[in-house]
Amino acid sequence: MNKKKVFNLAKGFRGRAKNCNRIARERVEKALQYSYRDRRSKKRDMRSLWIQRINAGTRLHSVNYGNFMHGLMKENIQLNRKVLSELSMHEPLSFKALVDISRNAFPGNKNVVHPPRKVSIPVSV
Amino acid sequence: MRVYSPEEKEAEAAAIGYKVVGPLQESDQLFKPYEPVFAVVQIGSHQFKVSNGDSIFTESLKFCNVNDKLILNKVLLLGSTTQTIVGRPTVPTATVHAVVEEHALDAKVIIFKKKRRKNYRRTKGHRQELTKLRITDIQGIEKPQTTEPVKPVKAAVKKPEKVAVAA
Repeated sequence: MNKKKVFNLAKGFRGRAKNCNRIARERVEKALQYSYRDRRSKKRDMRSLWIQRINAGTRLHSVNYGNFMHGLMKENIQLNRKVLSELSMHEPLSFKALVDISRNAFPGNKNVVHPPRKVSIPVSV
Repeated sequence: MRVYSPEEKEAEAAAIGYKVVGPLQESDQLFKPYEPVFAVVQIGSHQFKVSNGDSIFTESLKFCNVNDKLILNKVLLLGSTTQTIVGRPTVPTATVHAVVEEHALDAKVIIFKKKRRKNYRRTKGHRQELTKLRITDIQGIEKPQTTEPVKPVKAAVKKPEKVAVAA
């Protein structure tokens, strides 16, 4: 029942691709190829997202991501980026403790990025 | 299928995956209400941030059946509302207790490979074996003691019964 399976996979497609056999089969094959490729790129995308989140969390405490990870590696703390991003979101106190450990371990954190100051521009209507 | 005949081999393989199988008992009261304490535990090569009562999907763990108690002893971080204990890399005296809930298969993924205009098309289905663990207890950190509000004990007040007034 390959036709039936194709139409099951083609749910939500646009136009004739969800109703007509020939077009649906092409689109479903393309969709399966994309999912094969994206199962590999999902791992890269998630890691990039975790790094962005850790970067944002550490910059609140005026440390950037590179120096933070260098300090953690020096202290032999083997937390991975997934868990560090979850801590930066949900456990701010524990994350601040980790940032302090990293700052003490790697004292090159003097010339770090300060969060940009918000300049209030008076709005004239 | 290799036969792990002596129990020492089972213990070694369990040490690689950082789990120790305890005995299974049905008369224990394992499932406590939620405590605001979390731990970061490593199983195999994956790390999880767990708390009391969470459920986790890990790669399928051999040597344990359903309703087995496990002790996960590779704990990387412990945290509560008042203190944080950071391990380098692990906290040696901390353990996390878990119960194996089920051995299940993941949802099916279809592996489809195609080279266009070359008459090459391959289809394969795959279901990954998983184990679902339920985290019951975290030990190694002081848990904040919740002070329950003392309910005022009401003395038995006898309401004056309405006596039917005989007219």
